Amino acid sequence: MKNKNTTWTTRILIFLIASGILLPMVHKDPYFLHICIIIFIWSILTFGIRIVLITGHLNAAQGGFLGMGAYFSAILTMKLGWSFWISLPASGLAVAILAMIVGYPILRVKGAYFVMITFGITEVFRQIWMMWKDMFGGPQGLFGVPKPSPIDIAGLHISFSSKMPFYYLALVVLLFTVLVMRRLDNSRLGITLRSLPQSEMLSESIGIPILLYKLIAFVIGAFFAGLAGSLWAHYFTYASPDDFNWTNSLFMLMYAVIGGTQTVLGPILGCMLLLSLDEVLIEFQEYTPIVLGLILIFILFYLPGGLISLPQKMGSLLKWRKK
Amino acid sequence: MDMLIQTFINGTMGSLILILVASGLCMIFGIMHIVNFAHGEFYMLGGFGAWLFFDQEVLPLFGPPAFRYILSVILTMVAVAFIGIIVERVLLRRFRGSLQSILVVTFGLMLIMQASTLIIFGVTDKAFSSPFQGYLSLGNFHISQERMAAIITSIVIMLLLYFFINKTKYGKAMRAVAQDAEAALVLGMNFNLIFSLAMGIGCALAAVGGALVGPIFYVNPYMGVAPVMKAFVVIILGGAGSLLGAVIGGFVVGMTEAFVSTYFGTHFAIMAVFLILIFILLVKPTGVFGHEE
Amino acid sequence: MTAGENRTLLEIKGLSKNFGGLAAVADLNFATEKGEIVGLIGPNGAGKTTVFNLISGFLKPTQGQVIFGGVNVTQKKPSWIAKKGLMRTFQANVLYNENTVMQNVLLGCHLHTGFGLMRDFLNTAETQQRKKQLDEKVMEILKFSGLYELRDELASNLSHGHQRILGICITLAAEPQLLMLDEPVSGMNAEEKNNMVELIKQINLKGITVLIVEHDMKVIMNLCHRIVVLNFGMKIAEGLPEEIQAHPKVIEAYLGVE
Repeated sequence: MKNKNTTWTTRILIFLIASGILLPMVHKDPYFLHICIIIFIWSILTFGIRIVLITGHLNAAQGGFLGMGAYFSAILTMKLGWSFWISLPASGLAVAILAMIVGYPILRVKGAYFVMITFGITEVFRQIWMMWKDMFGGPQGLFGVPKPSPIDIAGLHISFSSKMPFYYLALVVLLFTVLVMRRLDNSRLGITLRSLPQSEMLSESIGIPILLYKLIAFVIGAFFAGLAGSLWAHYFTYASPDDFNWTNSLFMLMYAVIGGTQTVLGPILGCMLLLSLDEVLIEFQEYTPIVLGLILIFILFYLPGGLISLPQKMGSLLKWRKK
Repeated sequence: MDMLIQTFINGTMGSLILILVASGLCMIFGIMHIVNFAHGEFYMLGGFGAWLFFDQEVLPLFGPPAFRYILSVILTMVAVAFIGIIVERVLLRRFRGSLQSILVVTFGLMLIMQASTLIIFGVTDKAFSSPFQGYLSLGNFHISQERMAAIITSIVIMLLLYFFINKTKYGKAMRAVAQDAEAALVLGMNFNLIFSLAMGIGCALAAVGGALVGPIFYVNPYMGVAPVMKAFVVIILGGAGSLLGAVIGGFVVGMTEAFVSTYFGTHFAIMAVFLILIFILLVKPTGVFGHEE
Repeated sequence: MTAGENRTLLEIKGLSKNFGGLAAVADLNFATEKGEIVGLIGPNGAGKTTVFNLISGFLKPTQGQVIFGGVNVTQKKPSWIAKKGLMRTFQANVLYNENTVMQNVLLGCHLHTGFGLMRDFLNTAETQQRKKQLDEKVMEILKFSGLYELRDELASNLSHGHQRILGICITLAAEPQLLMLDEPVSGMNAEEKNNMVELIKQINLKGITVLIVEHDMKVIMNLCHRIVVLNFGMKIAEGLPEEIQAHPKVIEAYLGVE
């Protein structure tokens, strides 16, 4: 049963990756590519929040980490003249280090209190960006973040002034994220992370350093938020404090929960469904939040395991009917 | 000196409104363990209720303006309490105890409530004035009657709440549930009724906050977002489920905000509030008056 | 130091715990020697589980000391105490319910494998080797306890009896010197009880000292080398099973309650 599920996950994943690579060759519409890029960036973020979620923590600092990644990358390229290709991993690492410092004291806090303290962290970050004008540009944010510098791969000169190359860039970062997360899920580390919320008492009694593992998950999540932030800044070419708030952390949590946390497919499916909703309903923009809210509630009522539990649910429904 | 007193008065009003909103949140959390992220939207509904009943006169209320205003506030509280009870019955109750689900559901609810209000009433701020106009002058400084009315109303409502919780049968039952749900279950208390009461009163408290603030500032679909964040800080400061804690926490947060924003600017004020929160939780992971799980 | 003292593994000295002025455990003294099976019995509410929680660090004693293997472990965190080789099971079936049986035992191995994050992640030859060793260890424990056939089931799908066994397997994976079992046969039928008694004897034969709290007197008398009797948080008797059975204070305590 378990193995069958894994092979299905792999198949769907391969299908999604293949269509991700091939789609822009067929459908070159820049607007379509734009939507895809946004879905990719949000998926990376959602993966970051999911890894913390499986340890039993609802992390609302992810929006703040996203912003820190964006600002960090913008400052590195604009003020220090670094290349985007160095500042991308650098902002991931910087945010990871920041998360290590922030995470150690706060991960003792649990449940609703953890949600609140991480809300607080995002909000404190935001006020720092707004107050420190020289560094972060104040309430307007930083404008004129450069697009990634052109690169030459195998004799091909790739410039990032059009959407297509950026699409593939975001896709590659997302694939890297999926690869890492999938590895994690199947490793001993993944099993241990998942065990944490099930019984802290048991973990404590067999000598598992709970806080350390939570910190590892928190830092990994922040690293990917940093990467996503860098992509964000160089794609939109600005970093503004309005974009990186606790509402965004909540949206990431929604995508993760709605997609389902059991397999790596969850974040991708959640982001695909809920973000494409914006586009489907573009004519009725003011109704979008209502539809989104109804979908959230509907899925919680009827698919508590998220979208990825749909096949199982269908399966059990069919069995029930046969009987 | 004048500025100090002025700030103090503004801080008092801010604190009292915050205390109203936070006590509501605190009741819902303390009794049902529901972290209601849509609480701010009930506050928003309160603002719209006052606007509808008093300014738009959707119901043919009669009498002098002051009387009509008070009647509008009461009607608003009842209506919002009713909405809250329905929401709790239909949506929230089944997810009690699962933080993740509650968070998703109440966030969905928040989106739905904001967007519906936006569609029905439009995005523009609705400004209206309460019947209490002019200033009370005490020597050198002045306070608007509007604010004074808000301060007095909040105090009256908090006293009523205190009386209800401590002196009535249902209030005592609610306290018992908040302290020890299992024991209350053994004693055969009617949980359905107590949950409905808690949600109804909680939402009515948020609504009265919105209804009092509405005429002083303005009413719009997103007005509930900022107060609910602060209310969360308050109940964490005060400890979940402790009304006295909510009152103390409300004053700490409200005064901090008023003074820091007057003397250092708004950004510092928001930051100060959240820094207090972070500091408190680091020192005591379950809030000041909270107890270990 | 005499030779006899060296054999002492766990020593409880003047252990007391008050809950809001009420003494749950009062001035408790006893010791276990290496390789023993010691029973801790007493009527309901005698404070047996509290004693377990005090020893394993889940509760902090009001007074007194817990010495384990010559080290003072009083006031230490449970995970720190676990590292010293003192493990416990719980009265309820506390397991990783959403994990398979195998994964549960694997998690128990944590203490002796560390987590080598990067190694695990890069999947080097060394990691593969370790993984194989680890799997073998898990399988060995599962075969030893008779859960091998059920290794891929989710812990939550096991029967009550099997869950109790799994709880012990997790601690076995952590290689304890002293294993504290909190009512291991509660809620079991006669056959399951016999199996459990057999399993505990096997565990003891591996050189693991066992401290056991249990209500079932037949099981206690069958297993234990020595018995400590508690009533109202105080030790009222200690001795060999035969002595305890005939001890007037013990009889009085049990008859007085039941």
